[in-house]
Amino acid sequence: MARVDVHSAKGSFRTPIVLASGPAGFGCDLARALDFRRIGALTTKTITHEPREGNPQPRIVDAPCGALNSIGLENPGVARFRSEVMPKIRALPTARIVSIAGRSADEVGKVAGALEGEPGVDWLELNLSCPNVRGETVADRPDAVSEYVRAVRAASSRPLLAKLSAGGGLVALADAALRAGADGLTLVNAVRGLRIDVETGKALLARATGGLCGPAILPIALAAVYEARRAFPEAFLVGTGGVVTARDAVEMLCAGANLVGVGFGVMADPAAVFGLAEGLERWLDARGVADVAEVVGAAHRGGWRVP
Amino acid sequence: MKDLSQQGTQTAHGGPSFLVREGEIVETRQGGGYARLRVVLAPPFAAPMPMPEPGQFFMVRLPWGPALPRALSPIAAGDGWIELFIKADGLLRGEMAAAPPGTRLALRGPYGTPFVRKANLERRYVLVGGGAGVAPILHFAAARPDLVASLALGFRTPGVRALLPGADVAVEEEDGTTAFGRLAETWQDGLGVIACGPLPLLAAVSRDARWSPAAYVSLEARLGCGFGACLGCTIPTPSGRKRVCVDGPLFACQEVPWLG
Repeated sequence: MARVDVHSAKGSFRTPIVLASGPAGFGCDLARALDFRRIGALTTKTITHEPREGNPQPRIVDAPCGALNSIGLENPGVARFRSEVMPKIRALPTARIVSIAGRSADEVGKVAGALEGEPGVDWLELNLSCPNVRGETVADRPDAVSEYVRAVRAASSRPLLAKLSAGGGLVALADAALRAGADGLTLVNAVRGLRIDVETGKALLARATGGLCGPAILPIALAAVYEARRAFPEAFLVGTGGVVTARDAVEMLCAGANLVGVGFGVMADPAAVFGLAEGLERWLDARGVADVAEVVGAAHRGGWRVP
Repeated sequence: MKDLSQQGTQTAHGGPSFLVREGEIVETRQGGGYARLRVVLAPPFAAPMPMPEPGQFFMVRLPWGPALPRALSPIAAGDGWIELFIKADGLLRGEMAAAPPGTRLALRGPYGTPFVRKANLERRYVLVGGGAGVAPILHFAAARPDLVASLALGFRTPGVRALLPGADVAVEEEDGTTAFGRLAETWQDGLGVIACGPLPLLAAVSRDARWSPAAYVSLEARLGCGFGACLGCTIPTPSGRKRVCVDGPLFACQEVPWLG
């Protein structure tokens, strides 16, 4: 059986399959029936300093080959996250990546600081690119990315991922995050999108635009990961966006991802997501590949079959 | 059947099921912009499948479709089969309604809290259904006739009648009568109301002080995961935010004061 465990300077993961921030919530509902040992890490819903109610309904609509979501970072705030949620997810047999965000560098620093003494917070993921909140998408300005990452770095010793969106300037933004102290990047966030009810002429989502997720964005995420891997050969990358099958996961690994995040797939068919690691093992075995590391970044060196 | 319904109860309270089961559309009837599908659950999974209680729903999709599943409450359910009643529009439902017999569906669930676990069982109810919202209403009426005082079902156009044999349906296009009008005619002191349908209907039900202290509405939020994790369907209530998929879909009108 091929090895699928993943090792980085900052931590190890049992499989490359990661539950992306959002659809899996805090994992507690899934854990009642599914085996988290098949998951490399759970990324929590994004936590802010104060509790947030999120956006009004409707928050989810269909889109061709995916869905538009507009949850708006509904979460219990970092204090209740620590007292009510962490005791539950600390027991899960997987690594925990806690996603955090804020309206200012000061706020993200405070959230990171509040989690500093918390056992079981294995990684932090700084959400710089949620498309569904006003004024918090700082991921289009390298100076702001740098400021936010530095604030978290100053407050926390945990390994840190910076989550960016696809689009122009990705390399400059990624460079800013890595120089400011991020240990890796999560690419990509949901892509801003819109759908309209033609019978009324109004937007279907209460907040008009939302984040497009699902297979529709797989090629976009692959291109972003590919571009980042080319620019940063040593960076630790989590490739997220539209992966629903083991084959999609292999593509993401070949593009240069060390870990593969799954979001939309958790809503479509959660049990299938928990089978992805096994599907990946079978894919590797069928081709005589002994270790998943052999395919990571293969697209940058002429393919994985070349010795 | 008794064993199956007990499993359904356990699923609702012992944790969600993530097993995806295959169903086959064996018959489709269309009319008035709606479709009624009879779905037989694939033999290997028919026995252990928890059957849905009225008010519960399945997350349903086409096995090959890259769309999110749709939350659908059956209009009827039995041993190894369910019937779905859907509006024939939208990306997924349009394709489901047009699918030929033999088409396979992927179903996950049942999820949601059964109506009988939220409604006061000391009372009898006028059951109000508008559009595709008649599905859980008729399922409930068949399962718990002891709790039903009368039915108030309404549609815009008459074409749907062929899909609802034996049901007395108000058709607004014919004579201006609506589900809400039927409710207003038949409701009497002491009766409760359980309503499912479009938001304007639910808003009208919840605004009316005659019955609103004993009224419940089944909300039709667009769900993401169906099992309580993604928070796509949360709503504000006086006792904090609730998830339509887990805490509902049925809510007492007092829980959703913003609706009216």
